[in-house]
Amino acid sequence: MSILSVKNLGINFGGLRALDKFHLEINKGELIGLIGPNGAGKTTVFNLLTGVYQASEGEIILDNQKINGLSSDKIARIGISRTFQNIRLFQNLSVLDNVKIGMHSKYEYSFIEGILKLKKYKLEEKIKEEEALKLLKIFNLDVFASYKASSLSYGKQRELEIVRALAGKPKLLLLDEPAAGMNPNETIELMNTIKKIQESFEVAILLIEHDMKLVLGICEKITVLNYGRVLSCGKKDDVINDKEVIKAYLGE
Amino acid sequence: MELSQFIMQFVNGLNVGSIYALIALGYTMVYGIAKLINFAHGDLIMVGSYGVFYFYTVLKLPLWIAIVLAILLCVILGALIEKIAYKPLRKASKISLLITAIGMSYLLQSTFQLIFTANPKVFPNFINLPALKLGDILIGANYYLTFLISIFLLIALNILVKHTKVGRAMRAVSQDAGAAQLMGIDVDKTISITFMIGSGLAAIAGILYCCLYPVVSPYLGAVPGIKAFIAAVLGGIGSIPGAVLGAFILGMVEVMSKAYLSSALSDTIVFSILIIMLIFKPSGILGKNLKEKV
Repeated sequence: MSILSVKNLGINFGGLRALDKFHLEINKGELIGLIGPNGAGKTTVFNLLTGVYQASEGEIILDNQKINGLSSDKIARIGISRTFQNIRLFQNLSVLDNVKIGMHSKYEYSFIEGILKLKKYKLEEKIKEEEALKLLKIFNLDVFASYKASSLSYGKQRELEIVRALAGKPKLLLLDEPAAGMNPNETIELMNTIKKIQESFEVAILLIEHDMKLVLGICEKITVLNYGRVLSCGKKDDVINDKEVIKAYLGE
Repeated sequence: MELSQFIMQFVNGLNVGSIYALIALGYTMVYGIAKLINFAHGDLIMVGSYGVFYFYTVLKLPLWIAIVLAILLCVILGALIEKIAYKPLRKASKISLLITAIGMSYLLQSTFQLIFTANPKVFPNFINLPALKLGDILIGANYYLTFLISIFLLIALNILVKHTKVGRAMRAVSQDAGAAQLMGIDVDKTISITFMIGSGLAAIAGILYCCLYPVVSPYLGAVPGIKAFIAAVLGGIGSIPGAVLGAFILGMVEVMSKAYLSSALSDTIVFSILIIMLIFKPSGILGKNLKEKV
C-alpha cells in the first residue's frame, strides 16, 4: 500500500531548474534511500515534501491526501516529520522540551486548563512526558532529559533530532544525512537503530545519505538523483549496477 | 521616621516596578518571538485606561464588566495590530517594521484624541478597600493590590511559558520559527497569541497605573511605555526574567531618586541608565551575548 506518491514534481529557482519530473513511490513501512552527488536536488526534495518550498508543478500525495500547497505545519500534522542536514534543534531548550515540541500537535488541553494546571493538563503532561522519555530511550538519551540541547555532543544532537521527528508520530520520516560527521562505529550503530525504528514504529523512512555503506546496508530501494532528475530508481541491486549511475558516480 | 519613610518609598518603588514589569513583558515577549520592537505597545496602556473610563464612567457598566471589557478590547486590538500592520511585513527589513510600529503608535494616539479630545479625563477611583497598617506605616489599598495582582500575573505567565504547550511553542518559535513550523506548530497563531497576551498585560498595567495616577489622556502610554521598554533593554530584551528584573530595578531607581535626590532629575537618571547599559553591556543584564560569526 502506497503511503507517499510523488508525480512529475518540478521547481525552478529563478532560471535554474532545480528539480525536474521527479517521481517517487513509498509503501507503508518501507525504507528508501535518496542518493546523488552534491547539488543534485536531494534536500530540495525534502523541502518540497515538507512544504518549505512550493512546487512549480506536479503533485504530492500522502496517504490519499494531496499535500502540495499546504503550509509546513499542516503537512507535519498530517504526517511527515524530518531532520535537518545542519542540525536545527531548539538549542536553548531542554532535551525533553525538544521532544515535547515534536509532539506539539498531539496535545489536547486548552489554554486555560494549562494556566490553571487543571486535572486534564496534569494528566496529559504526565502521559506525554513518559512517552517522550520512552522515545529518548531508543538512543539512551533519557539520562540527558533535563540537559540543554546545546550541551549534547554532535552525534547525540543528531540522534535527538531523530527522536524529536519521531515524537510527532509521523507516517513518513525524512532523514537528511543522519550519519554526517559520524565515525564508522557510530554509523553502524545508527544503521541498526534506524532499522529498529522502522520495524517498531511501522514508519516509512526516506533517507538522504552519502555514506554508501549505510545506504546499501539498510535501504530496500534506492532513488538516484543527478542534476535534478531521477537517474535511476528501484531495487537496491538493480540501481547500483545501473550503467548511468556508475557513470555519474565514477565517470566513464 | 527616617526608616518608615524609606519603607514607604520602597513600597512605592515595588509598585512602579511591578507596573513596568507588566508592560515590559509585552515588549520582551513580542521582541523574542517576532524580533520586533512594538512601539505601539505603550499605547495599549492608554487604550486599556480609556476602556475602563468609557465602560465604567460613561456607560456606567458594573466595574468588573468594565475591566473585563477593557482588557478584551486591548487583546483584540493587539491581535488586530499584528494582523494588519506587522504580519504583511514579516519578511521585510527590520527598519520598515520599526517605522510601522512608530506609525501605529501615533495612529492610536490620534484616534483616541479624535474620539475623546485631548482634554485629560479623571479616571474613576474604584478601589475602596482599607489601607494596610504596619506600625506607623500606612500602605494604601491601590498599592498592595497593584503589587499582588502583578505578582500573580507574573507567576501565571511563568507557568504558561515554561510548562504548557503554548509556552513551549512560543519558545520554539522564538528560537527557530522555520524548524518550529516543521514540527507542526502554527507560527502565525503563536505570534498572534503572544501579541494578545502582551496586550492583555498592558491593559491591566494601564488600569493599575491609572489607579496610582488617576488621569487619562491620549498620550498617557508614552512615558510608562518608554520606561518599560528601557526596563526590557536593561534586563536583556527577549528575556522574560530579564524584563521583570529590569523593571523592578528601574522602578526602584526612579522612586528613590525622586525621593532622595531630585524629582526633576529622576527621568534623567533613568534614561542615563539606558545609555550606560547600551555602551557597556548592550545585551542587558540577563541577555545573551550574540556572537557574530566572522
